[in-house]
Amino acid sequence: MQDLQMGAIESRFANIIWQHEPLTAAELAKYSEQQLTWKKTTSYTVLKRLCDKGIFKNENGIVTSLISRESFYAMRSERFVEESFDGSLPAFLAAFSSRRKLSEEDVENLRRMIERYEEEN
Amino acid sequence: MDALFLKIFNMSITAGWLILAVVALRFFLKKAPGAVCCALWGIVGIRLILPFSLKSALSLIPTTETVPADIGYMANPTIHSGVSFINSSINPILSESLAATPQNSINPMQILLFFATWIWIFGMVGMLLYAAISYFRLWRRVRESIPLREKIRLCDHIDTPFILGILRPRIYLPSAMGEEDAAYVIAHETAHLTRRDHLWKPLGFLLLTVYWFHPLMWVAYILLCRDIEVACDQKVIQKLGTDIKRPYSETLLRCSVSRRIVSACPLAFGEVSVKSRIKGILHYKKPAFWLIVTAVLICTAVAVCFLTDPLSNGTRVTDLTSASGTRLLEGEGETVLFHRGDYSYPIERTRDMEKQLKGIRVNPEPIQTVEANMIINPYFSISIEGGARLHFNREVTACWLNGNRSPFYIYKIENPEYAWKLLEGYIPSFYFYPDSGEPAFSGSLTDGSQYFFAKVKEIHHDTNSLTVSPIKSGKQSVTAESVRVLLPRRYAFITDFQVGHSVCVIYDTMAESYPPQIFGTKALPIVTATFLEIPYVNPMYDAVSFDMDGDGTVEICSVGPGSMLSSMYTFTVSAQARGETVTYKSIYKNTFMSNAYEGLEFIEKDGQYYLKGWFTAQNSMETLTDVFEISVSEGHIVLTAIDFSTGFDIPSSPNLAPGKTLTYWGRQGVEP
Repeated sequence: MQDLQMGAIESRFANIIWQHEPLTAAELAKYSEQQLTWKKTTSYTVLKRLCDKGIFKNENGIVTSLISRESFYAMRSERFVEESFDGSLPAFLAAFSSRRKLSEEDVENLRRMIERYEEEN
Repeated sequence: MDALFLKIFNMSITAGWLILAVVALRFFLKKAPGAVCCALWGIVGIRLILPFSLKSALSLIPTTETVPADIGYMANPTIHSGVSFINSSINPILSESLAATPQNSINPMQILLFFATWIWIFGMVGMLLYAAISYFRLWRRVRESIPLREKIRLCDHIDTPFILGILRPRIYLPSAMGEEDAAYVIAHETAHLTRRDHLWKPLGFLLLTVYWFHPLMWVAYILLCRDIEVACDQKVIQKLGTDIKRPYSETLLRCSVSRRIVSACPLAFGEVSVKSRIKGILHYKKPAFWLIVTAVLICTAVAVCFLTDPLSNGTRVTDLTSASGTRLLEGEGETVLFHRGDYSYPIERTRDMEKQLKGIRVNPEPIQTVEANMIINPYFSISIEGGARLHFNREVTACWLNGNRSPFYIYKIENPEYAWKLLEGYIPSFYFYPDSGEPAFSGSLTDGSQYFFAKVKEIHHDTNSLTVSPIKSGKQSVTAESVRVLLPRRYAFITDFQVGHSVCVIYDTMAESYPPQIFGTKALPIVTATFLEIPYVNPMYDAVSFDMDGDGTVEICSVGPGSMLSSMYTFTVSAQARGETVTYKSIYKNTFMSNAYEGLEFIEKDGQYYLKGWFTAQNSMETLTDVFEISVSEGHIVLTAIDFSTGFDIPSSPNLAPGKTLTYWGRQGVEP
């Protein structure tokens, strides 16, 4: 299984890549410096770590993503529901809505999603 | 290097007393502001940094030099901690296992010191490496942090908030920390920054690096870290109000991490004694004004008592006990006798004098033990009839009680300048009779001669004489402005005199038998009075009157230095016959080649006078003596060594074999 853990700060770094890809490692370092105040070495270190995790790749100085941002977070939530609710989405929703009331917008979105899903199948 | 380590070791023991006091005080200061305890640790820090301090009578430190700096050279290494219990437990062990053996050229103590010093250095290096490595590891981790606010950064890979950095300290928070927790943590860490704890804690650790060998130092450092945290907790509550006590404690609990108890860095939030801190927070009450005042007073008292050094280390010289169990002042005599060589002169015993004598302090642990029957010549001594006799060396840096029979101890005088001044001050007064112009002396020596004191005005090297001006005493008028005195006695050498120094002039009223002698005090030269107008032209060490050549009349015979120009050691013996008037004329003068005698003097036995010379052998440190028979043959003085083992009270080994005559050197006889 891939390691999909990413700290809040690593996530901000990853967002830079997802936002600007494909970009050179040097440009990435520049963005990191601007937004995160990181030195070049720090950028490279974190980049290497994320590449080792299989999320990005750095070929000949060009940085691209192996997993898109949406897929990444999708995989993360899937794993979360898997681990915490035994894969049961209803259980997750029940737990989620037990503490927070679903807004009208939320309910409307959910209904539309279910309709679309039924149509496709 | 050893000396540095010894100094550090002594400083650590001195600070150890202070740490004990602070640890004890902390018990009573639990309700006081935490900042007070931190101030106390600050005082400890000062003690550890400053190699010396002001002296005060209020100091509670037993001594600042527990281990003497010259312990490596002592025959019997001893420590003097100022606490007799400690001394008596440790010193026997030291002398049993580390006493010097004469065969070895290095004392075991020196070897121990050498190893101890290097172990200390390695320990320091180890501590520094540990600190450097932990700092570096953290620094690497927090490079991946992003700024949140001024001086605050967020980081993914840390599990507890902390401050890192000395010159540019930054607060690091875990990125996953909740907002409410973050607020309290930031308040706490900001309090650290305001109090400059990011400087004090590393400084404390640096001191711990140097003093790592002392267990109390670790105690002090751990307690310091705790007190710093408590002080910051209190500061947060003061700033945000007592309502936050509960949520703040919860934050603290959430963030608590059990880690190693001693860390150089960083200033972490939840690392130190969380349980007791929470208790303290929940029970915290703003301290009353009087409590704060008392706490400040206690701090000041601690500073005064422990930051200052004791006035003088050591015991009073009047408390020293001789081998027979007596002390100096135990004698019942009404006078205090000052002895120099064969002379003693009495000074009236007063309470002031006793008090002043008590002011001479010695190091209670002796610097040397002297076996019975070893003779050490003192420069001068003090005694009171019925009490012990106290001897001093020439520089007044060491003293000892009674000697000769039992083993005795030589002590180091802690305040030699005071002792010097004091002994110089015992100058009796004198005056001149206004009419006759003759000095009238206020004191007599035990042998009947009288004395007065004078200041050296001029030194005459050619005639080996001095011009002195008598010292006025009180209202008495002085008629003689100055007196010309000569130098006959072996104690005095012309080079000992300095203009302005005092001399004690002893005037012997029985001048027919031998020339007036002069006796000195302290490093005072010895001169003779010139009342007989004796133009002695030969400088001399000693002079006596006896019939040297057997012609029925007494000559004044003197022994003095030999040729000044020669590199050989020589001395001169000469004789002057007294004329009808008071003028003397030289009749014999011979210069002899010999050993470098340290002392030469005439001695008398059964009406006969002999010349005695002695010196200390280089290799054996033994005193060797020669006694010469004096005779005259063909107009020249002949000196023949004799066997002095019987009849002479001289417990020393002979140097020359009996019968050996000394050879002459250079020109002999008297110039016409």
